[in-house]
Amino acid sequence: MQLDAAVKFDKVGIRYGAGKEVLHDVSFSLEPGSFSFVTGVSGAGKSTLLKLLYMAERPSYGDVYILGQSLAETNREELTKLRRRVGIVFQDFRLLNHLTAAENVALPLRIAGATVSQVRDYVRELLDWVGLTEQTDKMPSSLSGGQQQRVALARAVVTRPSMLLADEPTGNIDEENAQTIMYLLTELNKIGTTVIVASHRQDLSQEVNTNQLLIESGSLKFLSKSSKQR
Amino acid sequence: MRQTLNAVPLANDPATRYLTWTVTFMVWLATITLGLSIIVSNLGTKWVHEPTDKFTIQLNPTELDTFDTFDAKIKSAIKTLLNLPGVKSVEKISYGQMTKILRPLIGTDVLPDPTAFPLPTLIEMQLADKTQYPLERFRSSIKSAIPDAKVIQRSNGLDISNRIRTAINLLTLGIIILIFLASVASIIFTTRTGLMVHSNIIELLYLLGARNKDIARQFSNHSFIASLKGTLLGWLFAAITFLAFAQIIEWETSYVLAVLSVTWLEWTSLALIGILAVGLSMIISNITVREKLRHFG
Repeated sequence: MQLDAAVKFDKVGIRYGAGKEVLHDVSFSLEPGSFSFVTGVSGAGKSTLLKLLYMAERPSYGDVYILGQSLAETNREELTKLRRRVGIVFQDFRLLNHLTAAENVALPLRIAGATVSQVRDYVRELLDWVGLTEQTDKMPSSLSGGQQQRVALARAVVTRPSMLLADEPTGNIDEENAQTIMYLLTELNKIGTTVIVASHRQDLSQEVNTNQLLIESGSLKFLSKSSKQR
Repeated sequence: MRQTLNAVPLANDPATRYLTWTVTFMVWLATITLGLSIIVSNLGTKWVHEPTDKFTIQLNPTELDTFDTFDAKIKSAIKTLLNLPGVKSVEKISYGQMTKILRPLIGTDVLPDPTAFPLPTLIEMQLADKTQYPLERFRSSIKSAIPDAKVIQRSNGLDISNRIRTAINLLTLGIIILIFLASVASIIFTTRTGLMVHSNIIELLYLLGARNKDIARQFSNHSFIASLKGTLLGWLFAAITFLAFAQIIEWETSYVLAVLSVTWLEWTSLALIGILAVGLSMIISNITVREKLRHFG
């Protein structure tokens, strides 16, 4: 079945406790296979928007549709299945320090119940792809920030997700590694993965055909739309 | 073959690392409690059924007996007993010893004057080798040689009444139930602490698509390994405790016999403590995680 939208926000708002709304009446949709940048200053609500996208939070009102599924109507079992179709690259990498690079990358495969040979083959392939063939058995603490970010990217895409979310993927790394990460994200997008990047850097979005969304004080607007989105 | 998920480092965190030692202590305590109960129970049986090679012959004076006639009867009985085959020694318990035995029971004032009226007399007799002469046949020989005598077959100790045995069994059951409850509380506490310590990893696993049962399985697998080690150590320490106890009482025959006569059913009940500890640990930690994560994620 052809999806109308990879992501759809329908009048979504969220507030924590009795505090003020972090996102207010947000509505937008993103085409499957699109590449989108969400920008905005710190505290504007980028991370909250991403948390809604990777289903760590539920909206206070409105509904979020991920890969065609309404979060309001999704039960626990369906939510788990949906999460397996979404890859996440966290700003702070969130690698498990007691596992090697390869074991970190293997984590989503093990959760999904992959066989030993599948895990071995996919992990090797992904670590080759991100240029970390030699770092397979290294612990995250012995890797540089850029290398850790590439391990995190490999982990996010090892299950071939339909959608990839990246929260400030270039935030904690040098310019050279930032370019490598952007190149890898673009490659993923070319093979049909919907990519959504939250970043305070607007310059990164200039080089690829992207949607540009700006969050200001909890409200969202399109700065520009990619050719796919139009 | 599928790879098992083992992302939560439970073996390294301070809370769950001590699960092995908790289970070790609980299994040790439960095993020695149940083991001692079984041994005490068996000791009672041995005391009743294991006669010694000693007889006590009691001679009671009749109304017609004077001191002299009764004394003559005693001397005759001792002579008769000494002539029986297989007798090692015969010894009359002295008046001094008799009063010593009776004094705590009836007081000093009421002890009769032995010259005025004779007391029942006790004669201790020891066999040379009880294996050569069947005790029952010996008993008959004494009875036929001295018809007035009352023959007392000495046993190694006192019988434990059924009431005491039941009380010991109930006490054991009570202690084991308390150990069981303490174990359950300890496993729940350890598991909940583990969940709190690793909450960031658990959240990550959720976001990567893990289900509650995937996370619960990691905790129950850890509990299985920790409690299996704990059970084996608990059994080992219990065995050492029983050996040490045997050493302290210098391998007392009745204790060794009581241990050797433990039935297969009793061994099974001792083994069940360990099996129960492992199973309980797995199930409780699994349920605790599922219950705690029910509203999470």
